Amino acid sequence: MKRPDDNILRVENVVKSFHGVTAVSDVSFDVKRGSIKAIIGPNGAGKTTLLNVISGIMRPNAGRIYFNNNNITALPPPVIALKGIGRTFQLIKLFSVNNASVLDNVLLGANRKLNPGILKSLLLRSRMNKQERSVQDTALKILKFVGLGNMAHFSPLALSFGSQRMVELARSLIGEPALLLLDEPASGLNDVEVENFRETLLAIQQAWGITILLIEHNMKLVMTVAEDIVVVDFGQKIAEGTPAEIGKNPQVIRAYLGEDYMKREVVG
Amino acid sequence: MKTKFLLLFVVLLLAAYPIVMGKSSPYSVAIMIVLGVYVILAVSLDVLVGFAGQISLGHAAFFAIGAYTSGIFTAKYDLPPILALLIGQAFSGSLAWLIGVSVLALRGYYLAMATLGLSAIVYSLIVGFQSVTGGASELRDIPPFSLFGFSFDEYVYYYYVVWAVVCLVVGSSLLLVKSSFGRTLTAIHGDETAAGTLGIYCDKIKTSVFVFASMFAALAGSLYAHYTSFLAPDDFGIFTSIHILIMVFLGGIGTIYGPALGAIFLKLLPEFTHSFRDYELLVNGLILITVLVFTQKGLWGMFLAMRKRFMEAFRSSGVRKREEEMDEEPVI
Repeated sequence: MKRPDDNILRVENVVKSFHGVTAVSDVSFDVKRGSIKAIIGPNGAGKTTLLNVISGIMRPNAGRIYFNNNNITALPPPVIALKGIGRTFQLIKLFSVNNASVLDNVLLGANRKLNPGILKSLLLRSRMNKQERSVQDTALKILKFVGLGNMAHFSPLALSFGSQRMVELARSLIGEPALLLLDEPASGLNDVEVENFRETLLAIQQAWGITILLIEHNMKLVMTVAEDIVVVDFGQKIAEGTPAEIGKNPQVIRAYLGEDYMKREVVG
Repeated sequence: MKTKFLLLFVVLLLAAYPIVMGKSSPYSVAIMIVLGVYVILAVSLDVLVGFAGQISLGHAAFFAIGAYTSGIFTAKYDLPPILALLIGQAFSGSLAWLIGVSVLALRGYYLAMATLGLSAIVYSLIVGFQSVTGGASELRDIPPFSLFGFSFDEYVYYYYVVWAVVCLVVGSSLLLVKSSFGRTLTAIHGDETAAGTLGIYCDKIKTSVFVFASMFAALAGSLYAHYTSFLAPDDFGIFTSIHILIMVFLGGIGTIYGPALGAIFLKLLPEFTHSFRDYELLVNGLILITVLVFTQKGLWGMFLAMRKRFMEAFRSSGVRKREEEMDEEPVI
């Protein structure tokens, strides 16, 4: 056995362009096992594209991605998901056709455990039902954890924007990922909800031992939860470091944080 | 619980039907056999279209494959019908798998295009290979269905075979869509990108559900061949595929019971409107448009709404009943 690496994820020289427009150019960074890392940068900087490349939705034009020291570059999304990378989406992708409930959505995240097929669903019903019940208990617990314990049987369409984000979070949590990719999880949350979400994030990291890589615009949240920040602008990495370092970096202030931020918020 | 009693009632009604009607009018039993065949076609297509969200325009092609495999092997090679039926199942299943593997990796309407092509190919093959299929001048002398030496040579007997299969198909479709497998179909229907990041192999599941639906279509074909005893290509053209699709939408897509209702409705409609003579098609068309425009989930949605209203009237008239779940009753 190899000694478990300190880095759960390594992004190496990733390039992604769309019809000649370079969205990500030559970006590299590591994510330390058990940490919370944030990717920040202006809109259109290529942050979501990076997450899409990591989770296999998009193929990079060049570069490599290693997860637990295994090359996972350009593997199909379900393969990457089953290796232990969960994610949520900036534009919420919950399922609502055929009266799917919030609980159904969360249960879909546990597909790895149920792994249903046609013959199994028809012929091994008692076994599948038993598994389903135990997974359902877990799903309800996780819904409670994200603060939606009483919403299990609602349609996801009936929920507020912030709650829908929490359903997506619950759905990826039930898959027991080792690494969680969150795409702007706090957008659409009010100040109180952001405070609660900070607690949730820290609990996921500390109690569940899940590494988190998140894209976020809410700087108050980023500066207080992230141990490490990567800043991208026009597809390029312009800085990487601790929140304190990033807050003082003149290039980052010019590109993203703005002069006002310097006056208002810089800590220390 | 209510739905279970209703189902039991329907099954009893179906079982009693030929005993009551059979003697006085064999035609009414014969038409029920055809209805059963189309219920199988519509319900199996609903699993594919309504739940997995994949449009197939080739359901009649698999219907044809089942019918002609059964017909050719029993009429020309004297194979036992059950064996011919199983060959049809194997053939349609593997063909569906081949098409699924090559086409379903793509998203969107590629399956509709591919199955449209399949429909045309199968139709041409039936017309072209006249020596085997009988071509346009019909494949004749298909024996009645038999099992373990017992021949179901009367409509009344065969009725029970067909409707037993109908119950099997409807039952397994219901179990499937309500299982965790059905939930993954919902996910694929909704958003394949999101489904993929949850570890769902969309291509594999789409293919397996396409095979499932196509094999049931072939099963309907085998049953149909032994009912009519002759087969003509016109029953299996693209128009039939579209007809089945209309049954699904008319009855209520994604509800299983609805498409069964849609099949019965659409097949019985000409029985009632043929007296309009030249205007028959016009009247049929108007009825279809009315149902599709004014109902949420087709005929099944209409039925549920009526049942709800009836229950409310029942309750407000002073008779208290504990029927709280009626309001939140799901569509299936």
